Amino acid sequence: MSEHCVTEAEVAGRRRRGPLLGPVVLRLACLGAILLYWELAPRMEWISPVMLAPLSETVTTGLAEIDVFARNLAVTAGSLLIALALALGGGGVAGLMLGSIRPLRVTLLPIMSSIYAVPLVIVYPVFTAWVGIGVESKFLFGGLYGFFPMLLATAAGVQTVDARYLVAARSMGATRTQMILHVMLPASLPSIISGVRIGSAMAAIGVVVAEMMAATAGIGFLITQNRTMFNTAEVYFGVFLVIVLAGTIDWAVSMLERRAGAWYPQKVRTL
Amino acid sequence: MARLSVVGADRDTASVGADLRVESVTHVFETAGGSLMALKDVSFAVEAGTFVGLVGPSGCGKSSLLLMMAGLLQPSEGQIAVGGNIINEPKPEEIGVVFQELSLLPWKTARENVEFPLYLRGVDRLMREKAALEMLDLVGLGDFADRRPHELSGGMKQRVAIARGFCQDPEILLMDEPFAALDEQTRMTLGDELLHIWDRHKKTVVFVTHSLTEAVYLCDKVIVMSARPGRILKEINIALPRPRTYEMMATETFGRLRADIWSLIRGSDRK
Amino acid sequence: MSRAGTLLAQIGIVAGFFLFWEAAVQTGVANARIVPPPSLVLPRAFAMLGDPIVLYHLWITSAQVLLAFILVAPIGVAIGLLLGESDYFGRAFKPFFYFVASVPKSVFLPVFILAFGIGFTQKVAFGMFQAIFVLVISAIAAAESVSSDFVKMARAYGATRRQLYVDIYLPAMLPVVVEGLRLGMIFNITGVLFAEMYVSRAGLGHLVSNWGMRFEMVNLFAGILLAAVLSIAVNETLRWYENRVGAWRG
Repeated sequence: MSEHCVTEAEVAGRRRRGPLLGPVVLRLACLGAILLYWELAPRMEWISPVMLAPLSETVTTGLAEIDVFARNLAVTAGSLLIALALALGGGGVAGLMLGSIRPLRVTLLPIMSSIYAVPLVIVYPVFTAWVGIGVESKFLFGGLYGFFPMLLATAAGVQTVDARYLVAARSMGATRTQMILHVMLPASLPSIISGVRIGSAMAAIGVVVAEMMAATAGIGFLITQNRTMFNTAEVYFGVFLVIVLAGTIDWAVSMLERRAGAWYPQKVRTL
Repeated sequence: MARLSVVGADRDTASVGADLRVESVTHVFETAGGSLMALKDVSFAVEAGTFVGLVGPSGCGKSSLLLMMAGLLQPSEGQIAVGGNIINEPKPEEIGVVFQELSLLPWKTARENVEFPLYLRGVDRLMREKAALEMLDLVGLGDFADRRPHELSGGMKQRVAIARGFCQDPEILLMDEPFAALDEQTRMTLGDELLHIWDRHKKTVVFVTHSLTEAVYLCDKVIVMSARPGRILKEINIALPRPRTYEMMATETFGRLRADIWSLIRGSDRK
Repeated sequence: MSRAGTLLAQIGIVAGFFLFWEAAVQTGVANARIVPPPSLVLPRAFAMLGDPIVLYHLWITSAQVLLAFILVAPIGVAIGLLLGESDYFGRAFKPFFYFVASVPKSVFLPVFILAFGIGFTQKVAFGMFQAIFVLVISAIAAAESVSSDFVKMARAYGATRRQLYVDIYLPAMLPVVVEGLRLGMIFNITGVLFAEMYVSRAGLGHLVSNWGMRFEMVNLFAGILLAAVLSIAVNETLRWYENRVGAWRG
C-alpha cells in the first residue's frame, strides 16, 4: 500500500505561511469587530440610525418591552406547534407510503420533488382568502411549508433501506408490520431525523413569514408593525428573537437525534 | 514500432541514455507528533535502460523517494540527478510517472487521459490524438479510446495509466506499486505486457512494489530498503535470463533470490 | 415500469388532479367563489402571458432574480473556493457560513427594507443574500472534493498553476457547484417573490398579493400557476445541466 505520509500540502506545492492570528482568533476578532461596528456605526452616524440601531439600544429597548414580545412569541409558538404536527406528521406518513410502495415512488415522488422547487410563499394569499388572517392561515401555511422536505427526506430514508436487511428479516419469518417497525423505521431513522430538522425549520419559517405578511399577532406581525413605525431597535430585537426560536428548534431536534441515536449505532447520514 | 519523435522535440538531450543517480538523500518531515526521518543517507544508481525494483517494508521511504525522483518533493539533504542535471521540479518529457492511485481524470475519456501530459505541454490536437491512440493500441485498448474510466475494469484503467506514462516517450518511467490494487492474474498479465513494452523501447524503469515475486520476475536489479528510517540494505542483481518466463518462477534460483530479499527485509524489521 | 410508462402515469396523475379539481367545483363540493375552476384559471394564465401589464411585472421579477443570480454566482463560488482550499480561512469562517445558512433568512427582510428601501436594489440584494449561503457551502464541498491525487498527478506531468485550476479544479468542482447554483436559485426566487409580496410597487409577487387582497381568485390562481411553472422550468433546466456536467460521476 503506497504510503501517503508525505503531507499533501508539500506535494501540492503550497507553502505553509505562519499566520499572524490563528484561525479561531481571526474569527472571534471579526465577530468582535462586527459587534463593535454594530454599536458605534449608528451612534457616529456612519450609518443612519434608522437603518441600524446600536446594539445596546436594541437590547435595552427589547427588554423594556419584553412583555409585548413574549406575548407575541407565545402566539407564534402556538401556531408553530400545530404547524409542526401537520408538517412532520403528514409529511412523515406520506413519505413512508411513497418511499415504500414502488409504483407510488416511481410516479409521485418526482412530482413531489418538482413541487418542492416552487416558491410556496406565492401560495399564501390563497390561505388568507380561504381562512382569513388569523392563526389558522399561519399554522396551515407553516404546515404546508414543512410538509415537502419532511416527505422527501422520509421517502429517501425508506427507499435506501438496505435490501439485505429486509431479506434477512423475511427469512426469519417477520410479518409486514414487524418489518416496518423493526427494520425499515430504524434503518430510515437518520434520514427521517434529517427530515425533521429541515421540516421543522421550514415550518417555523412558514409561520413567521405568514405573520409578517398578513396577521394580527405573532412575532412576525410585531416585526412588521415596528418596521412600518420605524422602530428600528424593536425590529432588530424581533429578528433576534426569531433566530433564537429557530435555534431552539434546532437544538431540540439535536436532543431528539441524540436520544434516538443512542440505540442506533450507525453514523448519521446527511441528505 | 517507431519512436514517437513528434513529442520528443525539446527534450534535454543530456538525459538520453543517462543514468539516474540518487546521492546521499536524507529526508525528514514534520507531522503533528514531531519530526520523522523517512530516509537516511540513501544512495544508488539506476543505469540507463535497466528495470530496477525498489522493495522494503511499509513505511514512508519508498514513495517519498519516488516523489523526489519525479520532482514533486525536495529531499531535506542530498539530491537526485539525471545525466548530471539535478531534479528539482517535474520534468514530464524525460520522467514519466504511474501512480498507485492512478488518478485517471473521471470526466475525460481514455484517450483524453492518455494525451493529458501532451495537452499540458501545448502539443497540438491532431498530434496529441495520434500519439494517444498509438499508445492505447500498444496496451491493447485501441477500441476503448472513447470510454470513460468508470466504464473500464481495474486492469484496463491500469493500462491507460501506463499508456499515459509512456505517452511522452520519457527516458525514465517511475512506477509506484502500479499493480497493487489488482488481482494476481491481472498482475501477472500486465507484468508481462510491461516487460514487452519496456523491451521494445529500452526505457529506464524504477518500479516500487511490495510483491517480492513481482520484483524478482520483472527486474534486472532489486534495491532492498530497510524499515524507517529507510536505508539501502543491499542491491541484488537478478541474474535470470531475458525474456523472463513463468517457468523461471519455479526454478531454484528464483526461489533463492526471493528468500534472500525476504530475509533482508525481515532482518531489518526486527527492532 | 418503463420510463415512457412512468412519464405517462405522471401526466395522467397531473391531468387527473385538474379533472378532480374541475369536478369538485362543478358539483358544488368546492365553493366556486373561493376555489376557481381550472376551466377559468388555465385560460386566464395563458391570457396573462399576452397581457402587457402582467408581462411588465413579470419582467421586473425576472430581472431582479437574474441580476441577483449573475452577481452572487461568482462571489459565492470564489468564497467557497477560498474557504475550501485554505485551511486557515476555512477554519476561521466556515462555521460562520454554516451557522447563517441554518438561520431563517427571510426574517431579515425588514432589515433590508430599512437599508435599501423598497425598490429594485433591495430585491436584488435580498435575493443575493438568500442564495449566497447555500452556494458557498456547495462550493466549499466542491473544492474539498477535488482529489489531491489528481493535483499530484497533474503536477507530475508539468501542469502550471493556471492549468491546475482550469483542467483539474474546474471540471472536478463543476457538478457540485451547479447543484449549489440550482439550490441558490430556488432561494433567490423565493426571496425576491417574498420581498415583492411583503411590500413593493412592482413584480409578480406584488400582483399576486394584490389579487389575494381583492379576492380576485381567478387571477390569483392563474398567477400562482405561472409562478410555479416558471420556477419548475428554471429548476429542471439547471438540474438537466447538473446531470450533464456530472455524468462522469457514474
